[in-house]
Amino acid sequence: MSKATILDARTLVLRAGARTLICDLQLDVREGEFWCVLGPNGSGKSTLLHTLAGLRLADEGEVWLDDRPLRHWTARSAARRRAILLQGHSYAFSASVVDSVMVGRHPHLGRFGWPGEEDSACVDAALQCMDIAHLAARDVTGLSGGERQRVAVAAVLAQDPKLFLLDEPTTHLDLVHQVALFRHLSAAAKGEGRAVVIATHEYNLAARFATHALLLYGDGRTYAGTASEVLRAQRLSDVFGFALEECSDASRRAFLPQW
Amino acid sequence: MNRARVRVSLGAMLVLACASVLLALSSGTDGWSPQRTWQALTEGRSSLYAEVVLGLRLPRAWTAFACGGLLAVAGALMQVLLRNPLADPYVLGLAGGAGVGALGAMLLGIGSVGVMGAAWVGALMSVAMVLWFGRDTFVGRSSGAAADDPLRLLLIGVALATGWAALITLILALAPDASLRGLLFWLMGDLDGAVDFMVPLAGLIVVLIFTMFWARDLNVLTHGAQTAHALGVSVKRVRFLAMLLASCATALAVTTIGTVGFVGLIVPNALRLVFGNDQRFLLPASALAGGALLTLADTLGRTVVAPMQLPVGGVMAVLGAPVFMWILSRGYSGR
Repeated sequence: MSKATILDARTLVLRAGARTLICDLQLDVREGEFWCVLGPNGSGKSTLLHTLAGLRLADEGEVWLDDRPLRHWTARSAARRRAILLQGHSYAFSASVVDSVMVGRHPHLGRFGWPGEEDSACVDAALQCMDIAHLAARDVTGLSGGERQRVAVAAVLAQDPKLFLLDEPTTHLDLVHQVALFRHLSAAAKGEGRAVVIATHEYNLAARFATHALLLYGDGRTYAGTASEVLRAQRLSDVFGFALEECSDASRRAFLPQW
Repeated sequence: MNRARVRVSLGAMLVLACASVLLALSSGTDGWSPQRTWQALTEGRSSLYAEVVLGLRLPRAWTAFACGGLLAVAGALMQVLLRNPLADPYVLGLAGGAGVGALGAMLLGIGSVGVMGAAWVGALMSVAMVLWFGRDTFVGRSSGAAADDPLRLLLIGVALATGWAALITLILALAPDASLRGLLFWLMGDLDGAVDFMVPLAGLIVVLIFTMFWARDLNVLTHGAQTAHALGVSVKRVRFLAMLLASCATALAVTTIGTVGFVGLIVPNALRLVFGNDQRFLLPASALAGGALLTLADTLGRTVVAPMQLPVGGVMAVLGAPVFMWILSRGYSGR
């Protein structure tokens, strides 16, 4: 039995100014899948994620979330189904870490609702998961870049969506937290009716954890498929414009730059 | 903040606000007399003193309270709208528009109702211009980078305010000497003769009720437009409402008492430093604390050098600047 489709992009065209970033993309994200979107700077990774989240309209084609086009969803009902981590989250005002993560619960609360036990439990789990529980009472504006990034990811986790869209979630993170985050996302994708799509430059982590991958060449060309099919030395060398070589032993494989 | 803490803190603010009004009622040129004031309040207009308390001090205190509350709420809303703690009710040029209208009417010798009307027209013109030039921020479906940037709105406001300020300078330069004092008092903010307290007070309550519907949306908006949109907030609608409510509140205050500065900047920021940035608390607390502060400033202004009266705007700024510096230095050293 095939798994249910969660996100479906049909003949998607994305442009930035006069450039066509993505031409005729077909993307079928099914439950249980962990997609990594890879490509050079400016190849349209963020633009694609924004479009998949409904923050931006596609230039041509359409994105479907579950059973209907994304533009038929209200902002609020979409926010209960999908969450997106944006790049370069900035905090204009002082706020505690726990309050900043609680923001993720906004779509689940009524207009005059106050966070209840369930919301606090979600936030606590997200804080634990991103290893920032010890910072809960701290002011976000006083945190380091990596800690702030973990707060932003925790807010997305607290939103408890079916579909996670994360734009370079490992930015500023150290090795331990990078691996922990990929491991957590890999586990989250296996949850009931869930899927994960992230944009990343970490091709080795992608090769270790992703089930599927999408390459963006930045000139309209794309290549999508299962991770083992897409993440090959030749293809990655091609997309990044830098020669990579695959190394592997019995249980691991990695790509090494040829310099 | 949790709900219990909000209730306790708001209760404390309410007590403070009542105390400021009672102090204003019992203070006058003849000193401080709470007992006689209490008598007047309970027994009605039985004596001359009671007549002064109920007929002069009470409307003036309520006007000061309502306008202080309106300005503080407008400041809090503008700071969220522009994602900038330096914003105040006048940052988008509204006071300048009202000022040009009011001063123009005063020069033409139109009566006080006419001055008020002209100030309203000037303020509304200024709001209309901000809405028109910044329309990408408030309407339409796109949420691209341009629509996300409150800095553009801020620049529009600063440009407008500078233009209005230049016009005000020209009006003052051209005005005959005899009318200069009146013009300057209006510009500094003055409560003398302001007795129609029902309109600003009702306005304050209406604005507060409206903002409470979108208070948590405003909280989310402080994290940026795209994040807010992703979390299900109708960003442009909430921005438009915040802009409209803040503008109405400011216009109402400015047309009643003139351009009183500082209260809209320091009250929300001081509360934010002490209690955190939750609009569900911050907006009603700003109304109470802003009202209390302006009432106290006006009471001081009409008693310290009695029988002369100081314009409330001047007293406000002289008191406000050092107090805010003190809160700022305390608030940041604690973190």
